[in-house]
Amino acid sequence: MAITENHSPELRTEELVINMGPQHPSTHGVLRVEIISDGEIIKAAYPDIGYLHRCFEKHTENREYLQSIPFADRMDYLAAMNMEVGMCLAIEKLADVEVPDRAQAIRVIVSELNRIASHLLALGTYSLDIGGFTPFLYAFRDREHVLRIFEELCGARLLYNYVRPGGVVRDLSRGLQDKILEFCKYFVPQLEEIDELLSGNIIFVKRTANVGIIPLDLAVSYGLSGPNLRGSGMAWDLRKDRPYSGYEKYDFNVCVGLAERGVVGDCWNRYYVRIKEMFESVKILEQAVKQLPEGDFMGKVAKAVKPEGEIYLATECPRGELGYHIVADGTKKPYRIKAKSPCFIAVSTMDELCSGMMIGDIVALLGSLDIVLGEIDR
Amino acid sequence: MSSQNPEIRLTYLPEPVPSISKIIGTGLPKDVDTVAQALKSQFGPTSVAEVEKSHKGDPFIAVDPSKISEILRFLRDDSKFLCALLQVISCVDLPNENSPNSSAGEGTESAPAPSVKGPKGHIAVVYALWSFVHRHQIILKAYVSKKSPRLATASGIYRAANWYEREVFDMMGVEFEGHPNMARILLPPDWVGHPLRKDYVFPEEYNGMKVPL
Amino acid sequence: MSTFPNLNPLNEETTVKQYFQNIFDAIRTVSKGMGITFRTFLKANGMKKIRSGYNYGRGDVTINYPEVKDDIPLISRNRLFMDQDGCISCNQCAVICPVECITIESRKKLPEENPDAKTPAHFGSKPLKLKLLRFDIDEALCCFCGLCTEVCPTECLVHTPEYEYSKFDRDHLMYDYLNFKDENPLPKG
Repeated sequence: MAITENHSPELRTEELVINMGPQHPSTHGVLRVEIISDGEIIKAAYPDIGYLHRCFEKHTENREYLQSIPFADRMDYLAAMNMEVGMCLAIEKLADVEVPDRAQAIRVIVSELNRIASHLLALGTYSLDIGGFTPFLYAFRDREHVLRIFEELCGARLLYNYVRPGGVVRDLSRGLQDKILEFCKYFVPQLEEIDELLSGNIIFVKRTANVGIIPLDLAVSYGLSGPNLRGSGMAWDLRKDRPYSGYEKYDFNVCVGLAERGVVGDCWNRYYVRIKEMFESVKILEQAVKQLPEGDFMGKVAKAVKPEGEIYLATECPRGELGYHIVADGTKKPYRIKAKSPCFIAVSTMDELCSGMMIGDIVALLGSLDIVLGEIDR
Repeated sequence: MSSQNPEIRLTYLPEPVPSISKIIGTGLPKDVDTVAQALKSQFGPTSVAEVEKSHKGDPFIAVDPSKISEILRFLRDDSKFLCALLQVISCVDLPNENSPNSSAGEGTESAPAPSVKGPKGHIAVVYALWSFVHRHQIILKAYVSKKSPRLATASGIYRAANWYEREVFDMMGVEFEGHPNMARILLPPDWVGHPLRKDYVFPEEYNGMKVPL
Repeated sequence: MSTFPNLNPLNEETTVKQYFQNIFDAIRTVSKGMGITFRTFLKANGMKKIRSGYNYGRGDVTINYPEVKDDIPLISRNRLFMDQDGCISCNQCAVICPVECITIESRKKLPEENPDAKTPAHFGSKPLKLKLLRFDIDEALCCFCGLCTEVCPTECLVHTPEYEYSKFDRDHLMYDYLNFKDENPLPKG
């Protein structure tokens, strides 16, 4: 039904095909959305991906496992530690490598630090898309502290190559534990300040509440996971329900969308789950750093690891459930590695959700799904 | 004055999804032999080809590819399994008939070279299912032959299967019958060939541009 | 999702009380946000000028780069450096590199070329059996993963913390470590 139907019968209307093209500041990467719209109301929106396809899976077939870890980093470049941890856990299960306790605790520390950095960027850019320029810089100011800690830990700020099959490459340097604890103490009031700026703001609430509602049964059928599924009401966290790398020792809550504003399953709740998750991450960080056990940081593993068998292993990434399906044949090079990316499925929900929205709501929906095109296209 | 309205194509199958009562609950996980037994009793003894658990890693069930649709629907709806989440659809290109098992060579008599499981000359399509209620993971494999790689679509059963199947088609060449939008997803629409096959040859040029290697 | 959105929200009943409540809400939330920004502005004016890293709210957030530079840790993985006295041409770095950016050529030593030489003591005194002819690293391809520095047995290949080596042409980034000179630097200032 065209919007001009009620108005004047001589006015000719058409549906317009708009291209929200690959270069766009709000699509969080190179995503192309083909929108068929009737005025401002969208009739259909078809996402088109593949502009950042770098053939990760074909590269890994020609390289050893150790050489594939820098490639795995570059898929989701904002949460690189989580990608490496997932791959190394899968390789260790197939090669029967035991990881010492200290290495497991260090893996938890770096995963949670990277989760904080990733969520900060997600909500910083989300507020920039909606129109608020201040929380973007506040989030990046706090993220800078995390990147500085990583630079002292392993030498790189964004793409680390730190977690290996068997443990981690290098131990924490002297004084780094105190710096991490000081960061936790500094960060909680800053996070409360960003929360105060954004979450109750009437402009933000009006743009994101009741927009892009994904009901729980549809979310499960789509295979969503992570904050997207928790924002629709399901308390499902792989760190609690299928724990890995020592997560069962730490005490934290699973954050679910409780509809303090809006409706469960809308964009506001998905965003607010991420804020609550950052508070929980700080809790886990403090416990992990205070209870860091002594010992080795790398287990007994050959330089060129030779796993065999087949496994599908999923870990909890900041964006959802990241899975690796590894088919190994006992040699130094894998036969096939498939990376299951959570954002791939999140973008595919746009086909069904976008009819009836306005064009500005697509921006709100994309930002709340928190996509990274490097992971979608691999 | 005709309005040239662009055609709106439906790129997903709007089948109804199971209700919330099938997602939330507490149950006991089932092991892979129980699942295989239940599938055999429901769909006949030919539906399950093999239960493979002799390798390291996750056990999986090799099912008959012609019955994959009914098997997935049964596993999604039956109260003993209730697999509401489709985690991934992945594909593996198994070696051809006359090529060696693995790049490790033949191995010796007493220590045979480890190899990739599965019949030669086929493509394995892997479905990983998860149940929130019973907390078990069921991994199915369907072996399709390379000469005619066709399989029925699962996008009416799980909405997640829509884009996964497009990716399997794009990378490996398996066609899914009944899919609403069987088109390439990661590569450009006029690309020739299916890259993840082992015998893929990289093209020299694409539309006049040299392909960097 | 496919319900027609309400384009005329003023059609609903706006009572007088609601009208003023809306105004009050808008002023309240906007002033909360502006209050935070103003407080940060005042706090920034009174910050101590602590220039380096871990200041956690006590020092500057932005520094005047390029006049003032931040101190980065020594293990930071930036430009590579190879000390050619220490290289024994074992080829490990070229083999492990994921993007194959290292090119090494070497040959056996002739009898007149001192076959019993060893690398200096700080490189482990390893015997030098081969003569290194060529050691090129294409820094434009390098992905800074650090794998080559981990496998080098004499640790003559290291990552230095130097990050200011941009060039205008990609070919100028092919570094020949046997005749190393930093040509074509960017003009200063």
